[in-house]
Amino acid sequence: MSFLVRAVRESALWRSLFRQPYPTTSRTRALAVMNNVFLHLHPVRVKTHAVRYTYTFCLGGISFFLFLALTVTGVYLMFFYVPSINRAFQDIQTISNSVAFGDLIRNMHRWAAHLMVLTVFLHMIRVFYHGAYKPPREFNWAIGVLLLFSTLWLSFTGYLLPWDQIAFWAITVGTQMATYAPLASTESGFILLGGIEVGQETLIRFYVMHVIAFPLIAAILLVVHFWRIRKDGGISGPV
Amino acid sequence: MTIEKRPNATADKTAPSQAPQVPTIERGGGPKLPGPPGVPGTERFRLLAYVKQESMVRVDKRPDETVLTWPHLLRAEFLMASLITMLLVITSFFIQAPLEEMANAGNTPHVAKAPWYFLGLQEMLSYFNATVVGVLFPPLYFIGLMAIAYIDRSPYKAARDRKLVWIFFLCLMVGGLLVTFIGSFFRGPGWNWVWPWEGLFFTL
Ligand code: HEM
Repeated sequence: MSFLVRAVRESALWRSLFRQPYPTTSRTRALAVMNNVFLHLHPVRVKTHAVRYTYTFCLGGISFFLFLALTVTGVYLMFFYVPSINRAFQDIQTISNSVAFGDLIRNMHRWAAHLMVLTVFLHMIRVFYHGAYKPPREFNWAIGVLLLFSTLWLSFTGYLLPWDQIAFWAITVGTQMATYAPLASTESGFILLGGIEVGQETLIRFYVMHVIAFPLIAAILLVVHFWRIRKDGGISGPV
Repeated sequence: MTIEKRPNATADKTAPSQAPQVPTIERGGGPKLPGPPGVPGTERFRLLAYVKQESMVRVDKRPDETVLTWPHLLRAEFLMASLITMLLVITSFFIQAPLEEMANAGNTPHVAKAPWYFLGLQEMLSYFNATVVGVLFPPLYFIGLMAIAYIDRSPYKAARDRKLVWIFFLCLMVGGLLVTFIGSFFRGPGWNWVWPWEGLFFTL
């Protein structure tokens, strides 16, 4: 057995993947964080209070994790969904009834989306409570507000996609708010909906915003958000 | 061919004539760290860079107590990721996402509600002029939130030192929560008041 483990560990494949043994010392642990592209989002050391669950309540981290989970489940749903008013509703039914794990994945996507709106709000409240928007973090707070907007907009555009009565009327009511603008009403409504009422043009617009435009925007904002946390000297506090 | 040896401050201490013209660090000022025992002239010095607060780059860096990211932070992240995944899978296993009949523009429901996070806005639309609330409020909300960080310049972080901004933010949050609740659970057909026990008009 140990011979096998050794053979694997000494194989060219293993050693090309992992440049060092399992980190057990301070030095190798530091290297593990620095040498991995994903882990090196983090600094090698973090403030002691920042890893306490009760400082951040992990709300930013949970929001980010939900964003990732939504990306993965969303990609799966995209395999089976066509943004056409003649097909969309049936595609959702097919996903629920006959696609392998389709129902579970759709439910996960929906509940994760609602939960993310909630955790992003709570994260903002936690940041406010700690006064963590104060210099040097003002800009990251502003980025955060843009992230809040992106999250809401991602959720809202996704809401139309099942093309059922809930979706249709929620988006009808939601977008009517924008058309109350005097003068600009027709234009702003037209830009949003691609027409004077919710229809095929709206569906394709919302679909594109939901699956590509806003995920990209949010991803870019997240990169800046995380970069700024480090450049601002790590998590704020301790209080 | 000869390879020219570059002058190196640390490599060749025995040839001072070739020493480079770089400013040398004054010895004896900073704390001395012991080098290998018994080897004179090998003391190591620690260099500190400092950033003036008035400079372009502001950092919030005081001596902190720190722990290693691996394992402390990564362990927490792994734990939370696992918990959230379990929560999601279990919830999704038992609670079905809603799906009604196919969209029909000709079949207006008794009450059309926006997604829950916009129900506060929809509720306020029933009180005020639609132009003001529907058009001006959303941009003002986001711009106002961003502006907090630029308007509130006091360095204090405890609640008792930031009463005004606290009250402002609290009003925004509690007010938002209140109208969202009313819009979600207390509004029925025709946007009329309905008690939750008389019927729920709310879908997620
Ligand atoms: C998609 C949404 C968001 C994600 C994924 C996200 C993620 C994170 C993460 C992982 C952190 C590290 C600390 C923590 O977990 O609390 C953080 C910190 C921070 N976030 Fe966000 N965030 C989001 C939205 C927001 C919003 C809406 C705001 C404020 C309006 C905001 C403002 C900040 C600030 C100022 C910090 C630094 C906090 C500190 O130093 O204590 N973020 N964010």
